[in-house]
Amino acid sequence: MAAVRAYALIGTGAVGVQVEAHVRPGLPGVSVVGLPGVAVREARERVRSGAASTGLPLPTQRITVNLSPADVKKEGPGFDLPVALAVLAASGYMGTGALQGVGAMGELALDGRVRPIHGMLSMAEAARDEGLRLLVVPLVGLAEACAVDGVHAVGVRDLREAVMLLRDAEKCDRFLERGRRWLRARKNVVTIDRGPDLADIAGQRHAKRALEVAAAGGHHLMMVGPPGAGKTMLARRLPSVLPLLDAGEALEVTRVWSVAGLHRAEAGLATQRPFRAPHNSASRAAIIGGGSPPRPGEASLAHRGVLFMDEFPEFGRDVIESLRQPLEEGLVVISRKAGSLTLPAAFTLVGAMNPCPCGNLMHPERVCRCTADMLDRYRGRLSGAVGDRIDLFIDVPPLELSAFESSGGLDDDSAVVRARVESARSYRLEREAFLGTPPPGSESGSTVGQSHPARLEARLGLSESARSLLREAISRHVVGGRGYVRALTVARTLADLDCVAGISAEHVAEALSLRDPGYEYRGASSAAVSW
Amino acid sequence: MVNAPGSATTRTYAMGRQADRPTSPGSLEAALGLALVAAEGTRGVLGLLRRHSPEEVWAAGRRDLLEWTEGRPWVDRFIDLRSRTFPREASSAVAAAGLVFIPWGSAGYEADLLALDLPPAGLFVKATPDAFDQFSVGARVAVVGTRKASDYGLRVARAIGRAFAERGVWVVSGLALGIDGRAHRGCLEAGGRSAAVLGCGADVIYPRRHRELYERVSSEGVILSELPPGVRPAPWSFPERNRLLAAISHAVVVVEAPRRSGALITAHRALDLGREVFAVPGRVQESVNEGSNRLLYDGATMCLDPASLVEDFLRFTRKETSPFLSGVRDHGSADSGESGLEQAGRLAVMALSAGPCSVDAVAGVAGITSREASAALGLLELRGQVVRVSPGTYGLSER
Repeated sequence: MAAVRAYALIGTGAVGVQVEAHVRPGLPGVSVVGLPGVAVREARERVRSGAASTGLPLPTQRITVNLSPADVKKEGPGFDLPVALAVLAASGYMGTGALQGVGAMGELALDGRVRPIHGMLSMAEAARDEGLRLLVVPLVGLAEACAVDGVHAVGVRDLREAVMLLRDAEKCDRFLERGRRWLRARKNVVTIDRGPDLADIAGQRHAKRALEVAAAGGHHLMMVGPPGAGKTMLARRLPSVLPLLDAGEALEVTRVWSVAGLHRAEAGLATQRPFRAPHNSASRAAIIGGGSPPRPGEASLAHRGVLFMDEFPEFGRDVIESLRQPLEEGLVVISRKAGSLTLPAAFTLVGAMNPCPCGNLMHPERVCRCTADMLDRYRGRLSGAVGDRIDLFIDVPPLELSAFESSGGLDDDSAVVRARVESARSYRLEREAFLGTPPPGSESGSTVGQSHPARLEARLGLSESARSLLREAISRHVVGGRGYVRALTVARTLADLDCVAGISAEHVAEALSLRDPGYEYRGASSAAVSW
Repeated sequence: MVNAPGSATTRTYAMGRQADRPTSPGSLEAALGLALVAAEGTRGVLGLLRRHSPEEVWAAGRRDLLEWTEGRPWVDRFIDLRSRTFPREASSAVAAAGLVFIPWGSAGYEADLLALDLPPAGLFVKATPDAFDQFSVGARVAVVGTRKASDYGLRVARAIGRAFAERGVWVVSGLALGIDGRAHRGCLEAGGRSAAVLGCGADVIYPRRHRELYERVSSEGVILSELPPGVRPAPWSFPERNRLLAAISHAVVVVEAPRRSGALITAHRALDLGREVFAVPGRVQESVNEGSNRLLYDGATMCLDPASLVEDFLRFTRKETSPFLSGVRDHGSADSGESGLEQAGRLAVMALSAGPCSVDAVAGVAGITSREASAALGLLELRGQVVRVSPGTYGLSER
């Protein structure tokens, strides 16, 4: 009997699975036991062909493969390579100690080549945690596996190489060296593409400023404007002004994307902040994750990046409500009969909506045909827990207006804005550190909402003039309790962007202009107006 | 009873000014009687007032009436109504409603009213005696327009109301929704005085939404109507009111009027009376401007801006301005100690005075950064000085 470690994905994590193979006399054939999924069950055919193509034919004997623990569902083609190695070892192609402390992953082609699989990063992390002496991975996925510190990964092109390096320690060193060379070569090739740049947009300075504020404070943003105003164009550029992914964030992003099969294995770690733009017909499962086995949804794919929801009120009510948990906690929990699964989902939400269902409300030339009921329903989608989490509301006027109105020199490009955003974020961390409590993270904090106003104001450094302005806003019923906290946190972000300790009246006033106007536009040009 | 000293109806306004047509108790009763009967439906009888005094008409026999009117069919109806109308009793109802009746021929009765086809038998007035005296000697301009006004129209109406108020000109209008109300308010805001000519009894608040405006105009200005107290507004009463509005004013300014508009009736009656008509240009192809732009096309004087409109009005009418200027508030320059935020706010208001525009446009026009404009607009919106007129577009608030 021989055994090797393999890994099964659960959510974005991986758990170790012992792959055991036993060869005994009997009717020739391979049987796989231990709760294998369909793809794992089929591994025996790929293993048989792959081994034969490599020149290592399986013995004409009864071969039993067992996957332990038997109560974990094993899915996907990643078990091909471990099953093959265990079977070949049990068949006498390798010494009994060759697989000691060895893990493997990879899909086999019929000719014996090893293909990359989903979730290699998570599996490599699990292997590191188990302290394996060697992890055999597809060469193409070496960059992803090696992104994990402290893992001893060796890349192989095909099953033959895997058997060779396991049989011979000297060969193993040669393959490790080849892998290092290969990674060095990749490094020079990989270019960092930041995606579309803010400088591509003419005008819309107000909206650009809002993007900067959203990026600096991790605030969620809602853009309201008629179709064609450039809302999508603006949203696509938010990732470019967000700070670069740090090492930990890059791991988190890569993990999710790799598990979802969207990450190019040879790319190593993710370098770009994700931008996800699901269509408004997306189901709840598509947004927060689901399926069997549960797969990350758009909310998780947008982790550490931007989730853009165009036509926000057109999303299903249950979809919008399901965003509540990710917006509050930065994660989603998928509860199933078999247990619950936690996926990361800390994203910046950018919503876009028309002023009314037909989009023509208050348009200078077009006529809005929406009834009052329709408008109420449309705007009603924004109320509730999700709407309350959106700190910034901006109007995006039609493009033809703002294109003419933008005057003066060129606006800052994304790199310049990003520098300001990064300095604001580091200023905030410094300030939080000075005040002696742990920073609430990059999301607009739920902790802030629970503080006592006076303590909060003192902590955030509200100046006297700013305080009186905020009081005025409350007394005029411009903001309520939640609106007060939102205005305060946004004002704090504005002060952070200026790198000043005190929130001034200007900061509060600008924060107030970025609040939810409630969409009660007045002074209609066609409707009758009371005095 | 009518003649009892101190009774409201016997107190004649502006008595000392021109007593060449003394008012006898009889003529007052006759005028009141005619006003009541006319309101009942035989308005044609008012036409006789161009050549006959109310006393004569009230006392005239059937034959005389038929002769004077060339046999109009309403004569018998008039005689019937007359026989059932008791002005002496009605006068106490007038007083009870807090009104004063200014009869035909009295000093307060504007001579120009006689130039109308159907001169009113008298005017029911709700005002302090002082206010009415000032009104009857002051320069008066009618500012009228549609009830369904655009944001632009409302803003201009207000600005015009203010501009006239600052030169002490009475702003006369119809207390209606839309342009009328805004012109009244603009005038009152600037400390001026305003008069309202109603299409219902002078004690009837219509539209109800303008209750507060009605109270202000009646306490600070003049409310007048030719209809007896308690008469509800009727569709026919507004065109009739408009002719009165035209006759009582020295010029008419039409701010915004669609093709079939009461404001145009006012303008045409004013032209009939030889008054100057001004119109505010509006955008073409917008129905709300069709009537007012047509006036311009036909030769009305264009309102270039509120200030030059006032100058033109004073030049055309050669009216002395009355001494309200002292009461006008100073809207002058800001003090030097204003904060950056207030300064940006002031610049933003100036930028918006040209019309509603986006945050970026405000920044461009005011010469401030987009975020300064944002902050300024946030403050101004909070204070109710600007409103969002449409997504991304701010406008000056009309309040």
